[in-house]
Amino acid sequence: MTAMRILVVEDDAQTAALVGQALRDDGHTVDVVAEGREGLKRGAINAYDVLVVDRMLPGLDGLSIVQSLRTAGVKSAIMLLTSMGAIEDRIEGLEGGGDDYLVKPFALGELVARVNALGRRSTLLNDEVVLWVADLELHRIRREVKRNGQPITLQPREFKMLETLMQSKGQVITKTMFLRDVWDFEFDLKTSIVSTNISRLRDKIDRPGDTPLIHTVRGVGYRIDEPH
Amino acid sequence: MNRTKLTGRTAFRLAAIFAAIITLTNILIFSILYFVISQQLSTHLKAHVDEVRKTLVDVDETGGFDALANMVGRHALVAESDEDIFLLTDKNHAYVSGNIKPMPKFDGWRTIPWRELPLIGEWKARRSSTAVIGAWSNVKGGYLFVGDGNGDIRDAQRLLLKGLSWGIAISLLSAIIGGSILGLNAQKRMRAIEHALNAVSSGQLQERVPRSSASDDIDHVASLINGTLDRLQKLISNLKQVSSDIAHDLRTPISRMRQKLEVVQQATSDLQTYRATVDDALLEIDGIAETFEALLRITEIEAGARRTRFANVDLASLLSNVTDAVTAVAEDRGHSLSASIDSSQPNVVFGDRQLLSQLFINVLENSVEHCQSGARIKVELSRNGDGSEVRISDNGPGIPIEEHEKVFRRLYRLEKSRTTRGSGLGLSLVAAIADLHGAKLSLEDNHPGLVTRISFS
Repeated sequence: MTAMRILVVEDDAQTAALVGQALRDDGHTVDVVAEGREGLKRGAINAYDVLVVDRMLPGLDGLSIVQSLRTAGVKSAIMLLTSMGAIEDRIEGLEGGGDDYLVKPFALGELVARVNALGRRSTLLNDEVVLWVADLELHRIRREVKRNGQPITLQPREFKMLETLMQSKGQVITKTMFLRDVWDFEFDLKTSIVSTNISRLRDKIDRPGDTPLIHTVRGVGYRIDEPH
Repeated sequence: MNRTKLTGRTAFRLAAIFAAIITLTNILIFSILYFVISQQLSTHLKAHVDEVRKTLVDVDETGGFDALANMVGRHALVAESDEDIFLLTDKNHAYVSGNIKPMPKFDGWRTIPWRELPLIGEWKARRSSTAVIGAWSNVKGGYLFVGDGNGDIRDAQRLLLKGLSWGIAISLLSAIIGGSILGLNAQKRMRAIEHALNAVSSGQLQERVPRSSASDDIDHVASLINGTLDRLQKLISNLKQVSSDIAHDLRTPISRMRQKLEVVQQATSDLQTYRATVDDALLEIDGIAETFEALLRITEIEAGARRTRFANVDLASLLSNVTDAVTAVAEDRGHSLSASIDSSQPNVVFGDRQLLSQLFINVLENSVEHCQSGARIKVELSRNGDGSEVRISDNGPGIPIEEHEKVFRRLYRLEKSRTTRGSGLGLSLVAAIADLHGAKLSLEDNHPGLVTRISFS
């Protein structure tokens, strides 16, 4: 995993400290500012990989920062933090040039996973036709999956989930990320749709006796990785 | 205070305008009447004068000028009481006989005031007449003037004027009284509206404007006001319900969380117990956030702003996706989930893809959660007239008919499902989304089980 340079623009000191620490713990270099104009200045001057910007800020609001940065040609990935319920805010944020949004209150694990996903967008294995994790092989055009050379039959949704995991090998994919990638749902669900489908996928991929490849990251999501 | 004055003025103005219009109309009618009758009387008088003239001219023709002079002289003697005027002159305009002195001859009819008339002798009793109407005629030996006082006309006119004045006075009076009664009545009804609105604004939300049997403008306004007040009262009672429900639904998990944290803080707990308690607390917090999020989402949807982002959505592919998402969970619980999607015709609705997905997912998740293992859950999409209809049914416990309306209320939960997880907002969200899309949402009994029908038009 590559370490990233991240700027957090958040006016609530405690949130800023917690977010900063969580991202540092994940191995990134993090700068934190509390004021909007300062955030814009730093974001424009330094080449950050990812910016985490609160929607409501003193000085200059988050949406204006994003718009100004995009107008100035800044290519950094931007994650907006929005308050609850304001669907319009989120849509505006994405239209204004944000790449993703997270609704407060959020789990720190979710934030870290989503920031990682944003940061590796550019390095994502998008053009690879065949994805590999140890002896697990996924052919994206033929829609075939093999483990140790043995074909495995997957439901289309299971294939999509495995593809999502394998594209981000070693990175955590959260429940909301699965819902968005597999079914295009941008809302939370009552039933355990993701975990149920993951456990079915796992039953097919990690058979008894195999080295388990799909790992559960408690309270955050799932990850596929080479056995260590 | 100002408003009362205003309505008072309105009543007065109404009465005044009413009276003025009636009076003007009456004056116009009476003037025409007066003019026509006067005209008629004057014609009669001239006819009478003509008749006398003709008789006298006849006398001239048969008896000669002297006989005429004689006749005129006799007429003139008794003419005073009838106000008849006679004058006979010779060709040189010299007096021959009659009751006035010679005066210049003229053509046609003329009305001559009494004081301009050269009367012979003292005329005592002048009646009501002011002038004499008369004309000259030619006779063989000279000229003859015959006239008559306009007393009859004046009498009739005076009588008419008197009658008409009384008429106008009475109609004016009744117009003022009638107008005032109408005006005061309107004012009274305005006051009633004012009273009701004041009562509502001071918190008596059940107060309504009294309706009258007359279906007039004021009554129409009253019905509009009452309609608005009904909606207002409903909204406020809804709001009160929601806030007390929030208080209840949030206080419970918060106090539960507090107690658990207290217990681990005070007892000498091992790391395992601490971890479990923290996990519990996180779950509770997520639940609280979920409730809030759902409430805010419903509020936002009800505000209708999302309509601006509507696009064409293919229901068939949307339902396939939604069904696909729920399949594994349903199977895990032993349910069978089947979809019957009629794709012979396009089922496209104008709407919000995310919200519509959420609507169907919510209904399906309810079936999955509330049915006992082994239930049959069906998703059907069909054409219904010009629109599309989605029917989601199960053969689970269903919802008692008397609860059908209530389940769409915010935070409402059936007593038996109080203990299960969930915000109690799922169906309110469903109702709000359906409403935003102009879709009709209805619940039916599936004998046993529940049918949720969503009809798009």
